[in-house]
Amino acid sequence: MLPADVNATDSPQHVPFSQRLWLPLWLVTVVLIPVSLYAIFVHAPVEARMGIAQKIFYFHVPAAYAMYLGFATAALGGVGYLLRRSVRFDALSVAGAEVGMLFAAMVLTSGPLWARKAWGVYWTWDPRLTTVMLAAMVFSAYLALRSFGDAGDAEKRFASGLSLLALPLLPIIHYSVQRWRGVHPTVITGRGAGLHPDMRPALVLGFVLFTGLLVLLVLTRARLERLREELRELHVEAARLGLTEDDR
Amino acid sequence: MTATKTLSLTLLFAVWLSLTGSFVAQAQEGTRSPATPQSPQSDADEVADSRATGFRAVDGAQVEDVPGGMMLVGAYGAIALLLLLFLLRQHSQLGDLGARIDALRSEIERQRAKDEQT
Repeated sequence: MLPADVNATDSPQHVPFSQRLWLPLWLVTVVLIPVSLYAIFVHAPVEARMGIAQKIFYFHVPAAYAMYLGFATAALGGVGYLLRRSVRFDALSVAGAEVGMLFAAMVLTSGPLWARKAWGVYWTWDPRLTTVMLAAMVFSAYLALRSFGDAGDAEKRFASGLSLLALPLLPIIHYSVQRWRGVHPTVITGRGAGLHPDMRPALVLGFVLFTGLLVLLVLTRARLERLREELRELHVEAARLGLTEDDR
Repeated sequence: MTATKTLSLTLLFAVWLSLTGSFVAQAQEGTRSPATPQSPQSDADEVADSRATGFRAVDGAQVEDVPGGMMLVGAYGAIALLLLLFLLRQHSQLGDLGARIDALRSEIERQRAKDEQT
């Protein structure tokens, strides 16, 4: 008998919400890319002190926000897996961690280029920079753990625990600028964004675009992880029927 | 007379104190260790000195030390490249997994049909 999940995803009547969401979200995101670039490079004025390099901000900050969401999704999936032992939660956790790492890489690449212009150095051990680096290292460990072939229940549980361990780092990253002295700027505060009114649309569009990207990438990556699980189950079924690697 | 004598002695003592004080201060300045406590005023002076800078006019056309345009292109290029590489990897893995699942499923169906015949 084939795994239930394989038949379920093939059934024309049963289309999961995530698949129905995919196409409209993809269309919106694709349209938002040029609109967002127009808002950044044409509509938003050049900043007085930093010059054109300030425009890094419009993708750097939304990427950091998407990184938070990705890592939070990984932790959420981890909690779900620990409670339910469901493949779907595990897939969500892996997808969140991997997509979160993608956005962390964007933050850690664009940030130093900003810093070189603003502070004169590519890197400094500022509290926010250090905590972001720490979160990226924890999730790198998570992905390294999951990359060792087919993960069993023990590996999945350990990885879920690791994602939960990294969860408190997210508020620490966010509030590190306020709690500890550093050089990282705080443009968006509780008193409102310290931005010129013409700069705001570019930032808002950046947030919307990166949210769309995050959801799309997490859905795609989670689907990939579920397919891997299906393949593993099919291998078990093939072995039960006596099919060996040589037969295939 | 007594008052004049007392006043003179007091003045002499004050002069001696000020001279001794300045001499000791000069000596301490030369041998000061980092742990030596300082007054808030001297701390502020030291901080101000450490931040002292000079301004000079540009010679010819104004040129930026760090080219902002290059940093901007680098940042957006890196973001686009990372995203593109991630999407290509996803696409390739999805295609590969789909093909392997289809092949294995057909093998299983064939084996099952063979088992039913025998």
